[in-house]
Amino acid sequence: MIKFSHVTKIYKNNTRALNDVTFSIDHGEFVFIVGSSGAGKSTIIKHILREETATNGSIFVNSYNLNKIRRRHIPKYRRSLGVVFQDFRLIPDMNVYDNIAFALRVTNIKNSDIKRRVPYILNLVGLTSKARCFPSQISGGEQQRVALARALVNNPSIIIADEPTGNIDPELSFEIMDLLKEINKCGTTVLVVTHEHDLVKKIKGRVINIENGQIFSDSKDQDWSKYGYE
Amino acid sequence: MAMNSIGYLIRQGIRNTINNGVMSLASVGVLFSCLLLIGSSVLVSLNLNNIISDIEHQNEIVVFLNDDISEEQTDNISEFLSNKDFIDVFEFITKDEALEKHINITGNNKSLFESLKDDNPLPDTYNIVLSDLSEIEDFIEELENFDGVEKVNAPVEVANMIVSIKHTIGIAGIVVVFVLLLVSLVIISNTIKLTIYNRKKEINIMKFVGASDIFIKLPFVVEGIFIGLMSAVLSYLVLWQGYNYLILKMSEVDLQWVSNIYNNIILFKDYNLYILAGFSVVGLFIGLLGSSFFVRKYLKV
Ligand SMILES: Nc1ncnc2c1ncn2[C@@H]1O[C@H](COP(=O)(O)OP(=O)(O)OP(=O)(O)O)[C@@H](O)[C@H]1O
Ligand SMILES: [Mg+2]
Repeated sequence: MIKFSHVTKIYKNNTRALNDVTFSIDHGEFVFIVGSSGAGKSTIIKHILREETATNGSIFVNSYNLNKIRRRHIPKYRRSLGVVFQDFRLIPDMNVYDNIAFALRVTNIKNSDIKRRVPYILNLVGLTSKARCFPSQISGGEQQRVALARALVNNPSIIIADEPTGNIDPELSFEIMDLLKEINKCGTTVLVVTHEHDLVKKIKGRVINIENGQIFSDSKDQDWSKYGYE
Repeated sequence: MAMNSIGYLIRQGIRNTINNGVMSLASVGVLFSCLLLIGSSVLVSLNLNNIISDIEHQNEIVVFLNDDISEEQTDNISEFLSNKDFIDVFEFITKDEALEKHINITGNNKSLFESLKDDNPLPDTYNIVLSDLSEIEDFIEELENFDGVEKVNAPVEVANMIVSIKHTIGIAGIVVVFVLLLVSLVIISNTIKLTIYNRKKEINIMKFVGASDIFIKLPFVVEGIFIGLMSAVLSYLVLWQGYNYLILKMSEVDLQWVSNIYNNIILFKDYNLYILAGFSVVGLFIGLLGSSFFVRKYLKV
């Protein structure tokens, strides 16, 4: 469950990146966030990750109040999320296996559980044969699947992806999207930021359109007049 | 934090140290040089102190006593002297002993001694060697006020000079060590700043997969410990070998002042444990301070 309530974000340099944004995402939904460059999409993601805090308004995620969460609870909170970025963000000097195991090692999980869980996830994203490769030795699509595997390995209740297909070619993009859809079918909430209209069209999901730091449209919300449309 | 993650984090710290080869080497190099300089200045001041102590011991205070001094008066003086803890040794020398010493009796001078014995021009004396010259002036004044003391002969000026030299060496030593510590801290902190900058991405990844602060910091701390200890051991070995080599070379030089120093030189093995312990403490301190304090400062984790 993600709930933004009248969220406004003004960055230090006075950029108003979000302006009175209100929406809520239920458990198990598949949601796209779209909008032009600079609209405020990544800013929303950064707030969910608690990299940024709202200037005004409140944000609730999984029963955490992100305005009030204690610093020492943030790591535990973040473990309930799985994150995928456009630039993959893999650790270059760790192989595929260790990159994924890494997300488990930050928790207090037992080594034996790591040894069970990582191969399972590697199999899920179809990378079992690349386990010993380093990020530089595999393709962009494969790197993104490693990133996805790392996001999934903790069994997060929400998967958040900021332009996960921005750096890979269209066919691979569909592959990644299919994976996300599969994960969503098992009950995980999925939130995807994207520029690519083809993806949005192909996959049925709720679409939230952000423009100029405001919600321009939300496919769940049938009352278009609210946005100035007849 | 579970035990298995601690093992993992220590391995990570060592992995990081190795992966950051150039950076780690630079840090070790800086810390090594500073420790070597600190160790050298400590050895130099220890040696200077030793040489000065030697000079100190060559300076005797001679208390000349009146001819008609009573036994009670000498007892008073003896008691006064035995209660001073800055006195190394003192000796009561009778006029006969003084004369004997003076004439340096050998066979043919024996008659001279006999002839002078009954009309000995020398007085009874106390010969005193101090271990600490800093209170010499007050001490002499007190002695002069005793009944039966005729005169006190003391190298006051030399004593004062020695005291001020010792003082200067002490202060200079502390200043040098302090400056070197500061310099190494500044350089180490800069190295760590660079290291952190290089690993910003990795740290960022750690944060968003939910690593706790301590989990992010511990590898840096391990790295700091590792670098600190490595520098300590290296500089200890180099200082040890270098110092002994220097002593060896000195023993071969045929110059008066060199052999004067050589005769008073301190031995490395008498101080090796202190030096190793000191180096380890300083290395660990700087390594830890550099890593934990500056990681927090630059990371805001
Ligand atoms: N850390 C920051 N400090 C100041 N301004 C920022 C910061 N991050 C983003 N902004 C500004 O906030 C606005 C929204 O940025 P944001 O990154 O959310 O856009 P976006 O929708 O993700 O764009 P894109 O599609 O290009 O990724 C932009 O005007 C951007 O310049
Ligand atoms: Mg963005």
